[in-house]
Amino acid sequence: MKTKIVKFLSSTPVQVLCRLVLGGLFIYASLDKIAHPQAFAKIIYNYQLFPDFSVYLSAILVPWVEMVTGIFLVLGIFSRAAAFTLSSLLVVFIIAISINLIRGVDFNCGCFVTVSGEKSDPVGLLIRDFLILIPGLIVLLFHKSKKERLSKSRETA
Amino acid sequence: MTLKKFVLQLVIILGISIIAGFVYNGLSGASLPVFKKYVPVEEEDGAAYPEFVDEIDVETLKALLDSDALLFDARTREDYCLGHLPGAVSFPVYEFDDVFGHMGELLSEGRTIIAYCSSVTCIDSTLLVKKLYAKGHRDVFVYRGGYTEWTELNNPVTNPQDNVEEGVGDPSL
Repeated sequence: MKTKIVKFLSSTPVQVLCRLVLGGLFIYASLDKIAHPQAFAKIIYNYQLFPDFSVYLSAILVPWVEMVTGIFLVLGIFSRAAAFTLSSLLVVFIIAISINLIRGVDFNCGCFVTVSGEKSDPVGLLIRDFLILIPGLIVLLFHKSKKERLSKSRETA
Repeated sequence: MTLKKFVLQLVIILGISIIAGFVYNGLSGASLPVFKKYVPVEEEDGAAYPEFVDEIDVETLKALLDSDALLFDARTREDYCLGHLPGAVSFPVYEFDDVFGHMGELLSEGRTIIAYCSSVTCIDSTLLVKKLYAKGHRDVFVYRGGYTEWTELNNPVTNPQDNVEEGVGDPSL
């Protein structure tokens, strides 16, 4: 049973689907942030978690990490490393949202659009981020490179 | 996959991201100061700004315009020149201090003020309304849908190529 699940999760269709979903989502999420860096900087600042000197730097780099890593994942290049990067980003988002949920701070998620003046529902965001984390973990834990797949098929042959 | 290879791949991905981020930031018109401490635009002058603003939809906008409300286009002058809502006055928010000086007469009339920008994803109209609020104008609203929603609903637009001198359009348009 366990082997069957592992085999299913390592299968090409599941891996491709997970890569496209996760990579596509992050590419989409990066577009508005890249187009409106000042608005994204304000959203990062409003989380009230990051030191002031890091706000601009994060607003410049985070959207491009999302974009570049998303493209790598969609194209299937360095899939595991890309999935690790995006999953790590998601974990950071989950921690940030959880802290503000506990503190009761109103904030705008800034996940996909940088509209200002809108408050986000933190519980909904957490559920969504955990769901998005699933394809990331599937790629990270079960992806096999061409080399690995070839050597495995040789072993079985 | 060896750990060394995995780390190398991570370094390549992050390296490309960092280079792309800095290059884009350097080349884009709206570049951010990398090593500067963040100060929210609304707090730069130390004024008291509201946290949230009142937003209106297109029907309310039309009703308010019928009752002689003042409509501000918070986008850049270039965007305003390419087309704007009929009757809108150009008020680029990032030139607030300059333009505000020219608006004395208009603003002193005590009319309801509405601001818009490109679409639901822009923040210029929100910033403008907050800045006007801080200047003492309380009857201020944001038309959230902005120029995009207005044109998508097939409403008329004005293209005054010669009407943006000193950032002020003709409100009678």
